[in-house]
Amino acid sequence: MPEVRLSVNGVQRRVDVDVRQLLVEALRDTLGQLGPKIGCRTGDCGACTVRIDGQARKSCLILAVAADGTEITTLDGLASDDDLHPLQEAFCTEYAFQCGFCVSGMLFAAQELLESTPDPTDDQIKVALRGNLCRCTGYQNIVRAVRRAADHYGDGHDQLLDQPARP
Amino acid sequence: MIPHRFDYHAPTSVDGVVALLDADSVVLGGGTWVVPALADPHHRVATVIDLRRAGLAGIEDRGDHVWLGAMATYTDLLRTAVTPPLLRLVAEGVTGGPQIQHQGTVGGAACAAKPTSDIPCALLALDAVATVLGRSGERRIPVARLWEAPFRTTVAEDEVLTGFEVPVRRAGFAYRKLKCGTSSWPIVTAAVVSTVDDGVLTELRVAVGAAAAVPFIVPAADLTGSTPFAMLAVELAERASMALTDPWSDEIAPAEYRAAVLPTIVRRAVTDALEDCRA
Amino acid sequence: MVDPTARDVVTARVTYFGDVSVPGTTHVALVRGTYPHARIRGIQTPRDLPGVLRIVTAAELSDVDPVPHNVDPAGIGGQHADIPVLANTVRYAGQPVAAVVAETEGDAIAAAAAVEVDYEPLPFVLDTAEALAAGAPVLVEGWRDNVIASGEYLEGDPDQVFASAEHVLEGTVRIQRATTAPMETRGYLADWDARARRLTLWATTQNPHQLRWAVATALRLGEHQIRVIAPRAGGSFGLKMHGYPEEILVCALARMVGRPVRWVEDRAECLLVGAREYTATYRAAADGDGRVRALDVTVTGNLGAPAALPGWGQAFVGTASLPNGYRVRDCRIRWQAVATNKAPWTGARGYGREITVLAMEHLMDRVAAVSDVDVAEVRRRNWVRADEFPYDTPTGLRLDSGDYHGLLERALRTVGYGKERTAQQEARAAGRLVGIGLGFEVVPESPDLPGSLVSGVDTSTVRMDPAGHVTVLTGVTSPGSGSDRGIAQLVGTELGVDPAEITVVQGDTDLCPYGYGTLSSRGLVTGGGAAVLAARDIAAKLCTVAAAMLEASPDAVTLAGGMATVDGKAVPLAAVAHAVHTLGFILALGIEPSLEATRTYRPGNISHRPDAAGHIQPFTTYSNALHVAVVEIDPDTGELALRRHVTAHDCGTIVNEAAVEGQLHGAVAMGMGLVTGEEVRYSTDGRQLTAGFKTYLMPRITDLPRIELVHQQTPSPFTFNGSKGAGEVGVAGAVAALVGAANDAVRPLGVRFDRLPLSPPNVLATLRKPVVAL
Repeated sequence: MPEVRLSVNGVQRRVDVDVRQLLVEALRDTLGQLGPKIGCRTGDCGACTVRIDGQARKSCLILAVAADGTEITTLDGLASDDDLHPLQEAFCTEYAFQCGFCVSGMLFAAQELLESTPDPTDDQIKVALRGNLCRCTGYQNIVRAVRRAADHYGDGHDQLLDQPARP
Repeated sequence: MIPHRFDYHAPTSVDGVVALLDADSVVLGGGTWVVPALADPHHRVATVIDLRRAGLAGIEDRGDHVWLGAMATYTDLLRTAVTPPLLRLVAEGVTGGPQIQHQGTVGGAACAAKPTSDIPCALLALDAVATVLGRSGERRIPVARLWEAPFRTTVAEDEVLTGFEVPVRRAGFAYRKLKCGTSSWPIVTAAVVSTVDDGVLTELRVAVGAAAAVPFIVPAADLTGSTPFAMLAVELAERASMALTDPWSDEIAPAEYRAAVLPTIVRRAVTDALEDCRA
Repeated sequence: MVDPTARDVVTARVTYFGDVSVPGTTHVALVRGTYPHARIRGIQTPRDLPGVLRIVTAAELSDVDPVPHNVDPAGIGGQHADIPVLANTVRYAGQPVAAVVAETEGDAIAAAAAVEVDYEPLPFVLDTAEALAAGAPVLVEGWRDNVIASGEYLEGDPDQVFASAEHVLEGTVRIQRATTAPMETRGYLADWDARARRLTLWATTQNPHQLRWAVATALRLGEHQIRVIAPRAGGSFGLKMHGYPEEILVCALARMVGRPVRWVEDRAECLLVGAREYTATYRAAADGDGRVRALDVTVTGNLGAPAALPGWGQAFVGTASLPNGYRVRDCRIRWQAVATNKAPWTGARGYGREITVLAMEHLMDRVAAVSDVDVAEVRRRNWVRADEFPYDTPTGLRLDSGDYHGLLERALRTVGYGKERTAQQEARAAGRLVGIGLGFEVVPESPDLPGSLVSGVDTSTVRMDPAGHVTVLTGVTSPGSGSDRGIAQLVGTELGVDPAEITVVQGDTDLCPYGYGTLSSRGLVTGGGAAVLAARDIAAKLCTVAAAMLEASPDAVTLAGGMATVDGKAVPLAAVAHAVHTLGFILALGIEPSLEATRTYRPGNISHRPDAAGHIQPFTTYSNALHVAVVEIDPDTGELALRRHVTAHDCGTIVNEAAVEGQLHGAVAMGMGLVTGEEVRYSTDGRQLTAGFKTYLMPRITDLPRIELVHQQTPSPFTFNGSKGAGEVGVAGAVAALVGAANDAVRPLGVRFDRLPLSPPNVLATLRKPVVAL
């Protein structure tokens, strides 16, 4: 089994992976990171989204063996210690999820949006989050939550940039 | 989990890629198409050749043309100043959101040769030339000859697509795409490149995608040299309909629908492009 | 403060089914039939494949009984079918015929693909007309025809009213095959402890106790030998009700191979499970001023192959809720659940109301048109009035409470009806196709079906430990619906404790009291009612002991803010709880010295005694909603743009507004998806074509407008706090309002939509094929 070296939520890891494993499977089964979920395996639903080298990506479309050398943040490592990321807090406050299965995709896509567009319009929020399916919320409170995070943290939006990952 | 085992290679040069190519190998670009396809238990590959380290990700201004590396992603297109504006329009509207923009590649989309896809139509409108490398050396394929059948390109089994040369031009651009909702793949697309100099139409290329098995050009050569007349968009819409002899049909939209909406999409795209010329 | 459960979700600390890991687990892949109807002549299982432990066919499962029915249609005079765990005769493409157990998921899938099945194809039927035709192949040996179950309600004399009516309108509406598609698919992980002779089953299930019964029955075990654990659900919407072969299969395989066995449904398999596909034909008699006088409706559901799932009941419940809150007394209402060779249905959010509400609202709009009355006015003239509740319907139901006229006024005010109509006129003058539609729905909730394990009651335990922490254990589950937090809120109010400090335990048959899980928006009323009763028992004890501690009368004690207070003196509840456990012989002599109570709540309204017409009243509450939709259609492409959507909603007393609104958002969005393009398609040779989200086109965030909600709270007189169900309301009314709006948009063209989805190809085809009748 090939060995890959990668950084996961701030920790350097060296693990053997089965060449047949998708990155989402290796993250969950081999690396113990349960944040990314499997909803389709075809890159459509976004539940497996993680942040790889600074970009939100769907980890079901990546071979685990091809993630060698990357730096990955999963939902498990988005909060720093006991402090929720402002988006996490806004999603809780606005009741922006019900079952919670889609949360990884929504949060990482929103994080990326707020980095480039600290004060987005509703349309910009929608365009940025369109890669993620949610069956529970009709997306209503998700838009509100992203706007809330932007409103509340817009001035000091440095907090959103390069959140130190939890070791 | 992918059912069958395979050998995985990520060569650090294109030559290294070429050395591994054979009938049982598959070339991995961004992965949005190939990785899910590997899940099919009835389809077995011996070798996966990953281009991620092969140095094909660049987008460069090379004077008379822009070079698009096969591994350039949609995000690369959006973030690079020299990207032809038409491709920027295409990249913005890719189905699947930012995650897919980061992941999907121009070369991958071209090689997948899906009838219902954005990139082929746009490259055809831009009159791009594909470059491929094989054991017998490099070949240049005008994109009009790249897609000859659905899901198949003219890149040979022992060749790899390395990128595209896209002629540089100061022109008006437009891209229109009709989908059945955000989740849908494109149903009909139209890409237009047009130049108007001193009130005279000097260039007009209208490409249609997703309407047929492969993208096609709407004949318009006879219109260059004329003044863009009021009914030009309608004229091209009619010509597009005439040129569509065998509309593509799939689960989302039947052939009749594609044929019915094609003129509208072409008309809107040509109108946009002429407006872009004026701007 | 951030709700602790929500916090755990956003930090990936909750456990979903896929997060459960048991050492030594093996993996299952299924071999599924490739013909819609075929007899299996033989199965060739490959040898020596990597990682394969066992390949199992029906022959190896002789000691496993058929899948027990969730609700057997035979119970109401329908036809019973035995549903095998693995089939010898496949009745739909995709039916499990063999199973591979292997060390890895990849090995299992590869081996399953290598199994060769020799089929003898049999004649098949895909639509209900074919299935009902004379000479159609009868799908189940011994059945008289392909009707799984059917029924008829007849009240008054509709034929006579039709004969003399001013207007008679006829129509047919259709809803395509569509499904639930939660983000988390199904999965089962079974571990057989041979020494203890006990099975643990982790399952994506809404109803853990009923699943335990089903597994026990099929595996010939006692229910006490099985523990079912339902981890947090990643959505369900009806998909995760019991009755699937895989539930039994995984348990049987675990016992067979002696190791934990896991099966996870892939997305293509998940899309196989249907949830709707209906035709409704209607006739309505109306007088000149827009009053509907008689109704004749027949609803036909294409149920797919016979199954042990509760899907067939949807055709029944959908029609029972006719005439949808309107005062029509002369009715003939028929339903039939028809078996075909598509994959079977489960029950789904909406539960059949989507077709009956669509039919009723479709005809109301047409009555408005022939009577030249506004669509809002025609509803005003026909609704049951607020002073007529409880109202007995022609189908034997008793509508608990409501104020439909009030709901309409709220909705119209919110949308600015007059302004929208003016804007529509301007748009029409400019050649644009803009339409406004109304959709009204009355949704029976929280049923109790006699003779089945679908129950209108539930049970909860409330516990306070010596440190004062409160835990609620309840028989209802929460597939994302928020009933857990609503229950915490109710208990918190009774005990004077912050709901965020209350732990709610659900979905474990070894821990929780026997209960009936989630279905039909029953969680808060039943589980919540039981928890309130139990909390009141605890509260009474706390008051007694606190009174002893504060030397006061128990009646004078109030519980709030974590304190017991009387006359300005207060003692922390934690101290009271501690006292109960440690000073019981001093302070708690008058009570049983424990802070644990288990109570069952049985709401009112349900009546199982048949009325004069032989009907029973099996539902507790009747939530309702009125939707107003504004849409625009592109005449050149057929694209339907959803411009505005207002929903006025009445689910009685609201306990947690955010949870109610969340439910409503999701239900409305599901209705919107049904209208805009979700569709499961079949090829003419009977194979399902739709295998993923690239072709099952669910709405994305960019597809949906803002859903504007307005609440009206008309309490139910039959529940402990006036609450009704929330969660199912939204689907049917949204469908009807959108179709009404689309029809309003194209009225100038003389065409009418009567078939979903209103996908661009379907819309354009209708626009280019004019009809004339109003």
